[in-house]
Amino acid sequence: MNQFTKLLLPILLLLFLTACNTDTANNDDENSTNQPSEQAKQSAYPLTVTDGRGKEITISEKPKRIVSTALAVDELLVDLVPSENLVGVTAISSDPAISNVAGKTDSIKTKFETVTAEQILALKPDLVIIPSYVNPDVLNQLENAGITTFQVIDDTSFEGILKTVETLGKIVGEQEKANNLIADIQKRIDALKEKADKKENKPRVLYYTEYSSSVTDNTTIGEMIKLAGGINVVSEAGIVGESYPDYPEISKEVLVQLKPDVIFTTAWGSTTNNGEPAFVTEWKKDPALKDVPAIKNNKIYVLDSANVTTASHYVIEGAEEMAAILSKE
Amino acid sequence: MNEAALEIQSLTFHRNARTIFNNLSFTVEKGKFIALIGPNGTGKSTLLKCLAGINRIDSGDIKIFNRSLRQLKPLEIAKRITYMPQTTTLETNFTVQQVVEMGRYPHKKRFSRWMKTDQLAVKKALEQVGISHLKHRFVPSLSGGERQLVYLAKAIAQETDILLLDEPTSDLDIYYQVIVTDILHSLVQEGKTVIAAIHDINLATRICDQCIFLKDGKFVAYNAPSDALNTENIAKTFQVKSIIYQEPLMKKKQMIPFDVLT
Amino acid sequence: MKQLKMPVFFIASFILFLFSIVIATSFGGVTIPLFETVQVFLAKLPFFYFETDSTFEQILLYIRLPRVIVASIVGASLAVCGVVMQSLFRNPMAEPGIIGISSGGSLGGVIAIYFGLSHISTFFVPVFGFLGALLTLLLVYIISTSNGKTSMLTLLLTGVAISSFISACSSLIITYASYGQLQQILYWLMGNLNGRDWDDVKLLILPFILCNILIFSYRKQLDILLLGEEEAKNLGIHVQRTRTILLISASLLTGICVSLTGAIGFVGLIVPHMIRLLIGPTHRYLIPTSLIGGALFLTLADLIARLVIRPAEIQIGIITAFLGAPYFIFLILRQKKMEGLL
Repeated sequence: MNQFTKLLLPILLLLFLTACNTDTANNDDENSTNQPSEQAKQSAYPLTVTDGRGKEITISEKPKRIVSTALAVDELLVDLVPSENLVGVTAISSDPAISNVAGKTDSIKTKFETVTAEQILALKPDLVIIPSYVNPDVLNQLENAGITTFQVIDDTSFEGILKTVETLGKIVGEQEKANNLIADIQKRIDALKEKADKKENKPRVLYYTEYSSSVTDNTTIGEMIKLAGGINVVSEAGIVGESYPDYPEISKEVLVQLKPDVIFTTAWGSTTNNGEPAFVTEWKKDPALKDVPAIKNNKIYVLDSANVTTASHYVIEGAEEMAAILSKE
Repeated sequence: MNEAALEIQSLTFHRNARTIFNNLSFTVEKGKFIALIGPNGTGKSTLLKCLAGINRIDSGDIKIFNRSLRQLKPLEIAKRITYMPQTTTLETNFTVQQVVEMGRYPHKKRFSRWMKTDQLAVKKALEQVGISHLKHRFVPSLSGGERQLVYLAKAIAQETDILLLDEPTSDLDIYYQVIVTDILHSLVQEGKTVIAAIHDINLATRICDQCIFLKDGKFVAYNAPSDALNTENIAKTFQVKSIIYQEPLMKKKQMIPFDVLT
Repeated sequence: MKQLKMPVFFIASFILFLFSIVIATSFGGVTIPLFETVQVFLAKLPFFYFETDSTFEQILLYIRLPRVIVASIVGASLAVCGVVMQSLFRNPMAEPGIIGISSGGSLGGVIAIYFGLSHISTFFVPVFGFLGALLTLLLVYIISTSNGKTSMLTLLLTGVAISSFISACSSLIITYASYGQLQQILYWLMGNLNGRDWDDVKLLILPFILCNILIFSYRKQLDILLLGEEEAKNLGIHVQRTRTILLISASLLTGICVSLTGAIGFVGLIVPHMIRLLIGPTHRYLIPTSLIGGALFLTLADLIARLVIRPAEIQIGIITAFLGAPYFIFLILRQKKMEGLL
């Protein structure tokens, strides 16, 4: 053997062994996770979990007919539960402009334009997942009919959402999928955090809607901005809202004072002219706003509404979209 | 002298810090037709409402056939006195029959049913007033004169001994004036006591048994028309100069005003 | 204007009413075959035994039937209260909430929602609604009564003024409400029958029966009051006392309805007129027939509300307005035409 082959052989061997080990590791993993999960399936039910109302909800066996009554819940469940077990979702889940699971719910026959107790009952569900803002009359009727309802906790921070994924995974009996999902999201969060921490001159960002409202750090979108490596000018200035503390109204005056470098907005349902939302065109034309850096330098970005205004684990995509934009600043 | 149908003792009545009647006392004989004469705003309507128990008097006593008004409940008053106001507006489509039937209400105890006596009283009233042919018509669709007759029929169906009428002839044209006058006369002949406020002096003095000249809450005169109707009383009551003459047919005194009193 | 034969008309309309209950229960957001509906109903009677789908049974007997019954009771109540108000005020434009009861009830509910009480228990909204109606009644009544005498004109004007004030208060609260509350508030304000269940029927039935017995016992007085205050006094009616009793009964009944379903407009205004056109103004017939007419009207309106954009629902207040307003204009034009001929 020549010297090259001598060097190559150990390397090849090393590679080979590593590959084998990985396979074995995978096999081992599969074996090792199979058995506990089999056992988990056998012993997990019945289980009792506290829901968002503080109520103890007992689920006697793995739910086979699950109904979702809100878009965020649709998005959470579609990625956790096989579609034959999800019997009812919102109609809006099919709209790609706002839903992150558009197309994935096509096989589900019942889609609620409006949520009514009658429709839900007709599906004979064994579990109905509700948001905190569910119609109390509908909830009352479901409870009178003895249907098991579970309210997701009203925490839409990244941490809260991951906790919700975990809880849902537990009650629908898909803990493995839930944990994988959580791990994946967490990895992406960590990646963003790392980049954001390294960033030196963080761009000053304002999230601003058609109705002149914005967000503080204490919101999902505020968290996205932070993860994306931006500074939320609203919280930097300590502004707090009158009727909704975390969603202050920002008048034109205040906007001019804040001088953001970047403006993020969303335009679901807004009228557009040649692809640009009409209200954005208004901002650009407004003489009072001409010296706002973001407007002067044309740094107004219309983000994907599905990413940014979601309350499911797809919030990570909102943060990543923002990060992609800010990394060029 | 007949018995007193109404005995008024020291009637005092205030309204809006003004004294309308102060210590007014008089009696009304049963079976007489009394005309209440005076200018507008002098208290004719107010007096009638006091006598009917609709205005609550401040002091004094009103006795109906020796029973004090104060001690009588509204239903008991309604069985003794009928009050017909000057104008009534009815916009609901009740039939003539239905409105006249309402006159029977005071005689119906709480849950008593419609009796033959009620039916008879209504029929009699409609015939006496001469509007039986109108009984299925809707009251708001009738002419002013016809409507007045309906209310008169209702008052008759109430079958009380005393009738107080506020300007029963004023808004009527001559045809209906004559009809109403005749009806009132026949009621008096049946023994009923009628007190009517009438501002047409000549009509009033022609048809009444006794007349009251009322000015500012005080009686200027209270006797038979032949005695009461003179230039002095007219001057005191109406502030006008007048001529009194006698018409040739029934020899009743009539008056013609010709100038104001300065 | 024909005056139909009373007993025939009454029986016919009552049968129509029963029929409407069955129809209204048979249709809704979810399609249930008619024979299934009949089976579910018959299964509840003795001697019949059917295997019925428990879901259908749940929907028909626990969601739809109580709702239809509440619609009937509320429709009947609002109609009869409309009759009473129109007669007491001698005003064809009067309706149950005329002295501010509906506004007060609405505001009560809005307050309960705004302060989060509706989340503690769904019990709070109706209770606050009723308190609101009651307090408004007291307030308006006290302002309009002096020396033991209540002026109807003052009552009317005070009611209008207080209604406006209360609406302003509601608007103020709405300004400060959060998004979730806002949805609930608007939903409440428009009036709705969604979610009415057997508990609501139980709450309504006793006041409904008692108030109607009382109101019906005053049928003759109501006729006579239409002649005028002096006429009524002259016939021996204690006008002040009669008016107070009738006003309070009608207001309480309206208040209870508003507290459960929010303010539903036009029923109390339109149905009395419709019934009067058919059978005349005598309250002995007007009252019971208006009960049936009101029940039919609101049941029908609710059915339309549930079917037009099924499976979603339109607010009932919108349907009654769409049905009621054109009819009202028709009535006005008809009246003008008649006056022209007169």
